[in-house]
Amino acid sequence: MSQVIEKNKNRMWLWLLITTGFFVLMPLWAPEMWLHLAIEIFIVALFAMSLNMILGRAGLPSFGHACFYAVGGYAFAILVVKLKLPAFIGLLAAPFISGLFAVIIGYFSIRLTGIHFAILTMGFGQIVWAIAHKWYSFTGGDDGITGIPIPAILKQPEVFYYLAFIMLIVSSAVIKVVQDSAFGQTIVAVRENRERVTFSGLKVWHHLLLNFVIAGFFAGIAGALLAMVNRSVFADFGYWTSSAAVVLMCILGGVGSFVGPMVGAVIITLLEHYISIYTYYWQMILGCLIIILIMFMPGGICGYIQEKLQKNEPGA
Amino acid sequence: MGLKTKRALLVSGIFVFSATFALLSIASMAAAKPLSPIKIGIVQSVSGMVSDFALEDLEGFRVKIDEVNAMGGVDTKDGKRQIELIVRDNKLKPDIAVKNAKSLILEEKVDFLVGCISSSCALAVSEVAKENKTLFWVWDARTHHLTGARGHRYVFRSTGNTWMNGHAAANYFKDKPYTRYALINPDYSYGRSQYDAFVQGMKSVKPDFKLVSEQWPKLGTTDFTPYITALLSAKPEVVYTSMWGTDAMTFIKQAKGYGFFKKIKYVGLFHGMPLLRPMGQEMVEDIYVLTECPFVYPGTPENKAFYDAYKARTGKFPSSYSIGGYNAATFIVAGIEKAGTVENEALIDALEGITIKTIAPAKEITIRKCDHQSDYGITIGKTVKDPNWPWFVLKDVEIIPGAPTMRTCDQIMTERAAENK
Repeated sequence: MSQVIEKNKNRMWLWLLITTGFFVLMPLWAPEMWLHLAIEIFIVALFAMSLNMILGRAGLPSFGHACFYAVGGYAFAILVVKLKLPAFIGLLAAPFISGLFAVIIGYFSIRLTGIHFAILTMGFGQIVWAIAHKWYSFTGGDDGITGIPIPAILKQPEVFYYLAFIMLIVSSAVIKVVQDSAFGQTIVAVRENRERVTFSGLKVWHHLLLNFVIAGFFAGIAGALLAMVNRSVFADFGYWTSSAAVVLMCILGGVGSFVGPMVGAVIITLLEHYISIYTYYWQMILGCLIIILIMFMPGGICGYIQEKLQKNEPGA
Repeated sequence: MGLKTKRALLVSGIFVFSATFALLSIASMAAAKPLSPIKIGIVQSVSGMVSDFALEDLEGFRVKIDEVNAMGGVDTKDGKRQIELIVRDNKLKPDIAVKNAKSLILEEKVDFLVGCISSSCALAVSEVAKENKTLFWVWDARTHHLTGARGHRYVFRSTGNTWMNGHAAANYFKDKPYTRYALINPDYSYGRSQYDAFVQGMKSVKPDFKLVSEQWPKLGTTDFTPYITALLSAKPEVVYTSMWGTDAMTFIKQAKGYGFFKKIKYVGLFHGMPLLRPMGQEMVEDIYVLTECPFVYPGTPENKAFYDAYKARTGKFPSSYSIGGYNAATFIVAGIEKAGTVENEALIDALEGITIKTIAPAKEITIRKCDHQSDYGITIGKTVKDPNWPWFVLKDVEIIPGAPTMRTCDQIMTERAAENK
């Protein structure tokens, strides 16, 4: 049994090495558009991973996660455009501001579960969206904030590519450490049996709130990166459909797996881009594909692969 | 002649024939060498809430391009070149629009970009255009920021903007005897900008202007009762609105029941074909409609030619959106012919200050050099039944010239300097 685990672990490291190597070397040979797509994938993947801390690990379906993404973007834009602060300070501050929003929203919603949690997070998300949409003097309303200045060096796609890549790697490493810690295990325990954890004397509520805030923090990084790469930010980023899209990525990739949300982000981003080149009706094709994938792979793509691997493993 | 000689003759005959043919085809290829087509990238919301309007303006654009291609293409220094259109759908989302714009520039290697029906899309793509030094031509997004504070060398617009619309309406009403005005506008940036433009315009031209009520229904409102009663109780003489699409239709249908239009002059911005056609006989007579191009058929020969070409293509008559698309394509073609190239810097220089003829009542449109904003005039008319058509048409149509409603170049430049400070 331990041999099997050892073998799996080795294989995992090998795959990690191959994919990292692939992405590190990509700017050497890939056309520029691929870099832009990869940047988007890194950002969306980070966003999806942050959501999975709530959706997958804590088992709480959040439909308002995009508001932290938007807050990250707006925080960056407002700090840089209105307060004329340097971009790196904006990037540093944005996740903390998102985290602050997560403290407030989490404080009220984290006690609930299931559909009630989904609706409350969606409601809070919509409030944030409405503020961004209506506060013309501060957020530009639905005209958003455009022309966000960033350092000239970051305007080179290769440089931004590595920035986004490093942000993703560092963030996912931190998320992984958090998930594997006693704290992360407690979150899973709460998901599996909230009452039992409560009776064992742990403060469930504190754990869940902290988890929620960490997730908001990383969504803020993703949002700030998106504002940087687009040089613009719009209220749309925080609309509930944007939250639903990222939920879909997690489910498609597999909420039970660490890399699942990343896989979902890659697939949705690429499909969205390449199908839309060929047809106006790309949303329909995307919809059909998703229905088929979810019907035949209820555990998501990563869940499906894991299941297959376990079946093939003798003695597993 | 022996069999061998016969065969030798046949073989050599075939050889000579094919060699000549090959040589000839090589020669003709070298001589004709067709020029590569000009590629125009279109970022447009062809799916989603406004897809109908977006498709109308896209088809209008296509009619002009088809016209040019049928004539052999557009004249450049190197000869006639065909025009190819590559459309990308942005689902009304600004971030997808940015990605589409990048993909069109990098993957499709388009010569320049056009499109965007929503202001957020136009503003977002405008940033990509600025950074990539790629021309971006807009006609349907109306935010005055696009060519105002956030304008730059690479962005152009061939329609009016929110500022001009409001001031045009104000210019029309300054000599009318009405003093009590109420406004109802959709509660988002577009409605806010239209409100500001009209109120500021009225205040500057009509000292006795009184704003008796302002209403802000959200986009997609289905029950306008509270707004209708609020407007009625404020007793305005004129109600001005920038509502559009189903919102405007629902409002008119519901307000009819209150005798609203008997008591109040209703002025609807852009209530032209996109509204008159679906409303059909349910429309109300004698309401003011502002539109850049009212429906007239057959009208002038140019007018008829465009209407027929459009109808042949899509099966229905064009709206002012389609004419906007047609105008935009006319500008671009004229610019390429003037510059003789699609090299963007030369093309931009050629487009600055360019004038085209249009089938709209404004007759001519000019792109102002300083801010790349057009002086497209708007028309105002009153709805009336017409036995020839299943929809209402406009009577007493008056043109409100665009140029006097534009902010001065100095004002624009001051605003841009403040924005970029």
